[in-house]
Amino acid sequence: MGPRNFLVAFILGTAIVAGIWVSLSFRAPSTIPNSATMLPAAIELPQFSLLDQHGRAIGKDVFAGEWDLVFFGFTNCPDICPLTLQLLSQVKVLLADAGHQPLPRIVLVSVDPQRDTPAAINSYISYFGKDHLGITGELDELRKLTSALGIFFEKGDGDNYAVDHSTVVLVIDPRSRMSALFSAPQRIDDLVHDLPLIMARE
Amino acid sequence: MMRLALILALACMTVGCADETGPPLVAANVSIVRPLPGTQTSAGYLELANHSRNTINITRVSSPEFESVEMHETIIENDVARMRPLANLSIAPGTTASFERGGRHLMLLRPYGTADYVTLQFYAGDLMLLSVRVGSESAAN
Repeated sequence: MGPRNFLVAFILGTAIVAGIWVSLSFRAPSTIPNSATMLPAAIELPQFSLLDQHGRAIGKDVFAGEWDLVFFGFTNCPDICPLTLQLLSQVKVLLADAGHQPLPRIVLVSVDPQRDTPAAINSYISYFGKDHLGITGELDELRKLTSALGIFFEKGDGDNYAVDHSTVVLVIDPRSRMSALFSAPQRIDDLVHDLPLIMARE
Repeated sequence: MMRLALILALACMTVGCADETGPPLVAANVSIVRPLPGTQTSAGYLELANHSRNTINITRVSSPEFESVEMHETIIENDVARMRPLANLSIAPGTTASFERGGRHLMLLRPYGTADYVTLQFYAGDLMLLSVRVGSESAAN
């Protein structure tokens, strides 16, 4: 290969490498969720009457006007519930660090209303961050919410009973509708990637 | 974060040590979640390595800082978490059993105090094989 051919080959090679680099660097962010299940049609929440962590009566409207990440658990659940609340809290911090607006609110709905008084929910939920919402109340009213959203829970036996429960994280839109969900095990990176996509659909 | 601080109670005569100088059961990466305010339960995670020549069966765990300690397993099937007690944990020679978040874990019931430091004692029948003392950690880490 003569010097002229070598020069042409060098320039072409450099251009190809530069082209690949530019296309990788400037490609549009993925619009496909990593793990979220986007509902084709959002599901309207039913009317219900429960209590927040301050003992105030709340209903469907408590979800209006903001995005919510809703998890169903109980305060005496030692493993999966703190794990999930910790994960959701970290997701919110990462979204805030990335400058994302609006930030979702984190909501724990107790599936153990017998033990989870508003005060118990309050001390528990506030441990994971400020501005979280805790919900508890009468079992019949709780079932209105869970059955409409496909959430399962079942109390175990004995004094130190556990409660089997769904582990999905629901995304409730500002119009009080479930628009997406994340199945377990949830991953922080997936939620940080997918939530802005879900919120942009509204 | 404080890790494993103390190991005692060897039981080579019963379970048979592979190495006469080392303990049969060794704990690592011990993490005890400090009980959250107002709650009666907490969780513990660790790895238990069987360095002996025989299978070790953990039949009981206790702690002076808690009324009771149970071995549990969180099983997630079809997006439903079910927590089930484990009556016995069998660790084959040369293997390690892990207690980890979202899976097998220790459930610590009814703390006597703030449980800033927690001692865990692992038994095979009436024989204590291992005692581990660690500082507990915030659940919101």
